[in-house]
Amino acid sequence: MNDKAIIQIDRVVRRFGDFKALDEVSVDIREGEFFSLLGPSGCGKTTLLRLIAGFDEPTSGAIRIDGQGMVGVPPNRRPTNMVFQNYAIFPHLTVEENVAYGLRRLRLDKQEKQRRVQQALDQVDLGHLGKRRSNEVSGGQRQRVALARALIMRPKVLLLDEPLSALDKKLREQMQVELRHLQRQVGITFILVTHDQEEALTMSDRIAVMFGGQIAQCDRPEAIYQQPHSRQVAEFIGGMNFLEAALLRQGEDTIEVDVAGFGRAELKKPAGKAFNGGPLTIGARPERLTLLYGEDPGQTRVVPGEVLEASYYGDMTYYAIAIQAVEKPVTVSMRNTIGRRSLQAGEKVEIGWSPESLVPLT
Amino acid sequence: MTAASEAQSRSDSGAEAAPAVGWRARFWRNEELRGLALISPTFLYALLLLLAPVLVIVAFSFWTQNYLEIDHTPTLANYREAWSDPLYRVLMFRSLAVSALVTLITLILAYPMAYFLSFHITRHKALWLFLITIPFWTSYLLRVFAWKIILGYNGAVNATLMELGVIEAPMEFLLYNVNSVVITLAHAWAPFAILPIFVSLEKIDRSLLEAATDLGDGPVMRFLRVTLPLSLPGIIAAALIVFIPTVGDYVTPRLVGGKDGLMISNMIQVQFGKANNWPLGAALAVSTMVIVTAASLCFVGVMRQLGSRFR
Amino acid sequence: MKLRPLTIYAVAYLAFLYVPVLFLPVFSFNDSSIVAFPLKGITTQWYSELWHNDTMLGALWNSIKVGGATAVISTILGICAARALTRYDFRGQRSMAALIMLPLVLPEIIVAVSLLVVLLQLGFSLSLVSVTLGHILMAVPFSIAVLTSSFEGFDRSLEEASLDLGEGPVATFFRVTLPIVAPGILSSLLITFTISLDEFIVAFFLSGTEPTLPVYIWSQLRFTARLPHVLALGSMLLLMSIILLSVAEVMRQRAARRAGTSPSGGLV
Repeated sequence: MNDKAIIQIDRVVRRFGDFKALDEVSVDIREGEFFSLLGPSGCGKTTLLRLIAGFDEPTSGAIRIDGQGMVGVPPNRRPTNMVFQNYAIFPHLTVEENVAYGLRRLRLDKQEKQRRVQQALDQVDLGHLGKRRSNEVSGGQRQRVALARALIMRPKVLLLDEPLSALDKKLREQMQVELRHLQRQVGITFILVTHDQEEALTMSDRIAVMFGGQIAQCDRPEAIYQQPHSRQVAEFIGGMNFLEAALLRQGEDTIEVDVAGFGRAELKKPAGKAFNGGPLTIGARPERLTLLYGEDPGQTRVVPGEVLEASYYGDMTYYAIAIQAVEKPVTVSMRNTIGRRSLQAGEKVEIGWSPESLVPLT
Repeated sequence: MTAASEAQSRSDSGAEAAPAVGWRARFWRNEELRGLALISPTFLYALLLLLAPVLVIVAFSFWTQNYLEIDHTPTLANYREAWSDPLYRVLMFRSLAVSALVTLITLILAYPMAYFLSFHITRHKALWLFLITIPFWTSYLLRVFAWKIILGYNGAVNATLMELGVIEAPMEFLLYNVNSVVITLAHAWAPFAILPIFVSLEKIDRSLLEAATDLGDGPVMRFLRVTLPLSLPGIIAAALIVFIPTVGDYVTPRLVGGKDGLMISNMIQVQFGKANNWPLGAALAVSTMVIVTAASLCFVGVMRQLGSRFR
Repeated sequence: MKLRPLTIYAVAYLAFLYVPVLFLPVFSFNDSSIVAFPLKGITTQWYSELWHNDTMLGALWNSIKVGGATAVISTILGICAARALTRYDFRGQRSMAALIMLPLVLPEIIVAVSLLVVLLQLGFSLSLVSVTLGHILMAVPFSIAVLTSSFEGFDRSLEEASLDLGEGPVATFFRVTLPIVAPGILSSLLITFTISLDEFIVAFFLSGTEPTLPVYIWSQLRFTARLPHVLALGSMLLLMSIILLSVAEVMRQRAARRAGTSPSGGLV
């Protein structure tokens, strides 16, 4: 992955009558990166993908692929290929014929064609299924056929429209790893559209979180997760506790806040943000807080509370803890390691925290 | 880098302003225009060969036939004749009555069949549907003729009943009157009535019936309170599909109606044929259409009212 | 199937539908020119005599010509309209569709008479062409009905995938759309042909000196001596229609399966 922008989206607007599906969206996607468009349904991510693919034209704004403007260029002439949400496997062709579909225009000789098809099939682990009819393969296999069919065209950019949403959880997790692997192997730019934040976090080099036709934040997964810019982004990705706080003092790099129920803390100021002095929202990830089972807190700051509810998830348990001065219970997650016992409702505990646990949001 | 700072750096480097997409590109990719273009041949065909001729017929109904010439001065004389002459009135009334009766009989007979198909058949539904509709797809002429054979003086019914000793002489009232017209038409339109009812029965969410049972309704109440009201659109559609074309039917009255079973279309045909009075024929045709439309609208209105009373 | 009263009713209903129709073949083998019970004997003479009847053969040929032309043209018009209605969204769509589908509910005599008047007024003489024009009008709604279910079940992203992989719209039509819709098209051809073959009223009003088969049959109905021939002819027509329609149904089911939809909906 280098820094060259292979796709430039420049102030793109897509209007349907009065409704703005995309509102002045601008972003550069780098060559070789695994880029995700993440957001709830209706946020415009699929619209944007289709604009890149060429199935739709922007109302205003420009899309450039590898430096070339794409206005008026139909999808069959763009250097992109797409994996559709429902795979769009041609029902009247076999697996092989599906994969070879786009090669017709290249007029390769039979041997070369065969070779390429086999290579594409091997790449997605379908080497032995070439002769099967398309209604004889399972959902996960169809997805790979769609991948092979697109990748055999050697596009500059591969577009994936929620490719894993139709698969069950186990298969999905497996495919996430495989897709990531494949992308590294093939080396081309992947653009993935998904509403599943775990998926985006696992696979992407960068994520663009979208709401209501706009990009709310575009960053690496760690940055988005740990320093979400807004409450909306924070809420969408992972669980988050939202706490009220008052701004006490604003410095150049830090701010001092008084968090309801927790106390005072000095937090790092997020880059480029200025606070106007009113009340703020502070976010705290459940895994960044800890529960003390009656041991000595030492340096950790603590807040006393009572367990309301425990939700068991196998590897983790999520506890809802009621604390003083805060209306909503605070969620804390604890790994179920050896020796750690589960807490019951009604038990008294202490929430351990530090300034690093907290993130200021607008 | 955030999106905001990226855009910032780009405009710093002096990129051009984002252009609006050219109108030409949008024209040819315009979905609406392509759709219109596609449907135009068929639509124009219908416009030229259906709408226009019907409008011409309407025009004709206001003109007069002077032997070989058409007098184009608008006049209501044809309509006066069509509506006041007792012969036409009788025919018109009979046509409406026959159609209404046929519609009623057909619907009553068809509903249980459609119900059976929708609720009691789980496999091979398409096969049953196919079997039911085959007779309809074959020659209407021949089907009517078949009834002539069955109901005739020496026909199947009479012959069988005489053989069995139930009657001594063949029954005359079976053929060449209104009864035979009704029977024949009810048979002819049966499949066409089943289909719309079947479709709306299929659409009924079965879990609604389960909910009704859960809330205490027995099978009869379930049917009356859930199934019947929900199948109302299908019933209305079936009624219209049978009623409207039946009013204008020509073959059946002609073949099995005798003198007493003639309907309005037979008279329309005479005006366009031997009697050579096209304007009168046109007036009769238009009057028929108007009455049929009015009757249908009334019917739909009444049914909707009845339907909403079931809530 | 359990032997409920409703089942008995259903079977009786089917019998009611079919029995009258079965009378035609029964009497066509009857060794008597009087169509009455009791049956006299079995003979195939009426069938063999049919083939020597030049007028009848001429009418048959006319019907085939008209039917063929009707099938092809109404299917083409049907493809355009069905695709426009299922794939696109444009103003006036519903009213246009209503006009095109109107012949389904209009009394045939109105259609026949209107066309008659217009064609004669415009100076055209009545011939097989005028019959074909009328038949196309009546057949197009059926063609659209058959093809709509084919197109509707057809996943739009299949065409987009083809475009995405480099093919232009024309190539996409021939490589993807057509093969998937082909059975539906065949079904439409067969159904519209059958409709034309069996249609009487419009043909009656619009044919000139050359009759179609139903018009010919009609003209024979007044001659009692010719009756058995008519029955034989009718039975053959019946058989032919049934065969054609069965094939059409099989095709339609195949089309549905290919496009991935359920074939159990029937022509509905």
